[in-house]
Amino acid sequence: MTTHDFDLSKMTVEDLFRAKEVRRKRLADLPFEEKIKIVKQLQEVSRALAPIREANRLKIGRKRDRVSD
Amino acid sequence: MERVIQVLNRMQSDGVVENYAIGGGIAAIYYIEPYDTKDLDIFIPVSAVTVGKAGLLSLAPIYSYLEKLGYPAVKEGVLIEDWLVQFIPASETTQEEALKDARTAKYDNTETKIFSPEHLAAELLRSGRLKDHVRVATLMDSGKIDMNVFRGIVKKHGLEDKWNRLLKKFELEE
Repeated sequence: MTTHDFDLSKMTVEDLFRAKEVRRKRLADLPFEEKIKIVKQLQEVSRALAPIREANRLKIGRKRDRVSD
Repeated sequence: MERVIQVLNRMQSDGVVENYAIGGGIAAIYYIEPYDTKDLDIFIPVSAVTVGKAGLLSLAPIYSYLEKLGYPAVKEGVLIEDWLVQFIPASETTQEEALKDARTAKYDNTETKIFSPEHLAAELLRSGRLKDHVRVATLMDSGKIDMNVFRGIVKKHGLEDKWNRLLKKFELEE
């Protein structure tokens, strides 16, 4: 990641895609052990979000039931 | 993860399975950027789980071996050191070949076997879920696939139709 200033107003969609590609490549080139650490962090986030996702799923289900009643 | 690999290596040296290889999401992550995946897919030879003359498949010998080591069966796998490990008998020809030709990888100081990127892509192509096809496209994009080797695998295992459909769907060029 670079620290030099950039002007968001001058950023194009192509710049965003390029930045995303650079990030993907940087992550892909990490050592396997580092990647697994990231996977574990992602799993923790996913676990923490699971109850919220489940509550939303139920909420949407109830709304659908009301619409179809 | 290293402890999990050590358990798998021990399982192999104790003769529970003759060999194994990491496939699925974790194998993909070995080659491309990390993403959220829940489990560790371990491919094993069908012979390791064939029971009796009728040729029925049973994971019981593996599960009971791991249970004795303190790793319980949960959901569709075994919980080993905080990883849900799924054992998948390599019943498809692509999987058999991927297992046989798996390459050696190292995690810290421990060696393991992992599907080659070409076999992994072919297996994901065969499997055919949308998320699998996205991984194939990502693997292709990563430049870590030898396309000549991959095309050979695709042809050998009759995956040409699936390959052509994927190319069309993702507007990819070989």
